Amino acid sequence: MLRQVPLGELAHRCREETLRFVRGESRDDAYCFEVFARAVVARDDEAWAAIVAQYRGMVLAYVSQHSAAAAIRESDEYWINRAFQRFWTAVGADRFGQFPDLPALLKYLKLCVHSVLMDEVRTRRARTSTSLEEVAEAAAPASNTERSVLGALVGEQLWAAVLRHVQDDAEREVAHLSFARDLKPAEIFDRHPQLFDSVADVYRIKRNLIERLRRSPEIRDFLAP
Amino acid sequence: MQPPEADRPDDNQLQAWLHRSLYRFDCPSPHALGEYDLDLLPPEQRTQIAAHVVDCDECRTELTTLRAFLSQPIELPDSVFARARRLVATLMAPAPRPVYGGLRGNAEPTVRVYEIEDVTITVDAGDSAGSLIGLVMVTSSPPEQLLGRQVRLLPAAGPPLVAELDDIGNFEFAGAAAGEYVLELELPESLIVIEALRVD
Repeated sequence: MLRQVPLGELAHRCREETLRFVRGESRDDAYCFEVFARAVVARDDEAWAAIVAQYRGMVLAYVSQHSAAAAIRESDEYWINRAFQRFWTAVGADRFGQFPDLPALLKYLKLCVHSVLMDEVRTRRARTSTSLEEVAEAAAPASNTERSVLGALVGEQLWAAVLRHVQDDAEREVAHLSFARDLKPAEIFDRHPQLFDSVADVYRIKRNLIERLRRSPEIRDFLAP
Repeated sequence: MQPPEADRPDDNQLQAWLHRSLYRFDCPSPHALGEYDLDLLPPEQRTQIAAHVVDCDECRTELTTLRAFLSQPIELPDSVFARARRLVATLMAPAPRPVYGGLRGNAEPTVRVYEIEDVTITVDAGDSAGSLIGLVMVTSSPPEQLLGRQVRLLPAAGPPLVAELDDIGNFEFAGAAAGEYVLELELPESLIVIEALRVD
C-alpha cells in the first residue's frame, strides 16, 4: 500500500516516526523504509534527498561518537557527504534485499561513517611513519581514489618486487611489518622473538634490506614518474 | 645497469616511499571489514577476510573499534531533541468554531488565537473557500528569523499541505478539503501543534 503514497507524505510520516523514536515512543518504521526503498531500488533522486535530509543529523551524531573523528579535522559537511556517498555507491537494487528492516539500513549507514573515517586514518598514516597521535597532523591525501588504486595495483606489484630482493624469512618479516604495518624494530622483535637475536638485529636487517632496495633498478623503476 | 648514485633516493626517502606505497596494501578495506562483520559478504570473500583477520593484528584492532562503535547507542545532538519537543498550543479566543464559518454567512468571528509559551499563532479563513491564512509571532525572536519555517496542515488521512512563513511570519494554505486538521509549526527549539483545527 505504501508504494502508492506520494513521496512528500512518506517523508513527512518518516520524520514524524523518527521524532517519536527520539522521544522514546513506539514507532512505525514502514514509512522510512519505503523512502529508502525508493531511493535505493528505484534510484529516485528525490527520495534520496529526503533520506539525506532526514538522517544527516544522525550521521553527524555518528561521526562525533567515533573514536577517530577527533584526530581528523574536517568539516561536518565533508563527513556527511562522504558517508552518504559511500552508502549510495555500496547499496544498489541488487543488495537492498540484504536489509530486512530500517534498523539494518541505519546500521549500514553507521558502518559507512566508520569506513570513511578509517579510510582517512589509513591514508594519513600511510603518508607518515609516525605514531598514531601524529596522524592528525599528516597532510591530507590528494584523494582516496588515488590511495585505493595505489593500494590495490601498485602495492601488490611493488610488494612482489620487494620479495624478489629478500633473502630469508627474517628479512621478509622485517619488510612486511615495517612497510605494510608501520611497526618499529622493537615492535617487530616483540612479535617474532624467535626470528631475531635482538632489537638491534632487526635494525641491522632493515638497514641492509633498504640499502639493497635502494640500489635496485627494478625498485627504482617504480619510483620513476 | 645500476642507476647512478646521484639519482637514487636516500635511505629515508626510500623508506618513506615504501611505507606510503605498501601500508596495509594487503588488508581488506575498512568497508569490506565492516561488511564482513555484518555478514553481508558472499561466502568466498568472507572466507578470505576471515583467514586474513586471523593473522593481522591491525585488522583485528579495526574490527574491535568497529564493534564498539556499532554497539554504542545513538546519542543525538541536543538540537534534535529540542525539535522533538512537541508543544500543543491553547486556543485563547474566541471559543472554537469552524474556521470557515464566516465564509458561509456565519456572523461569528472566524479569527482564532492560539498561544503556547512565547508563541502566538493567529488563524483565519482566507478570501476563498478552502483557504486558510495565519500569522506567527514569537516574542523571543524577530519575525525575519521565522522566514522559511515550515507550517503543515495534516488531515486525518492523506498528504499534508505545506506552507512556509514569510519574513513577517505570515502563512497561507489553499485547497484544503473540509475536515479536522492538525496544524504543525516547526521552530528551532520545538514543534508547535494546534490540534483539532476543524475546517467545514
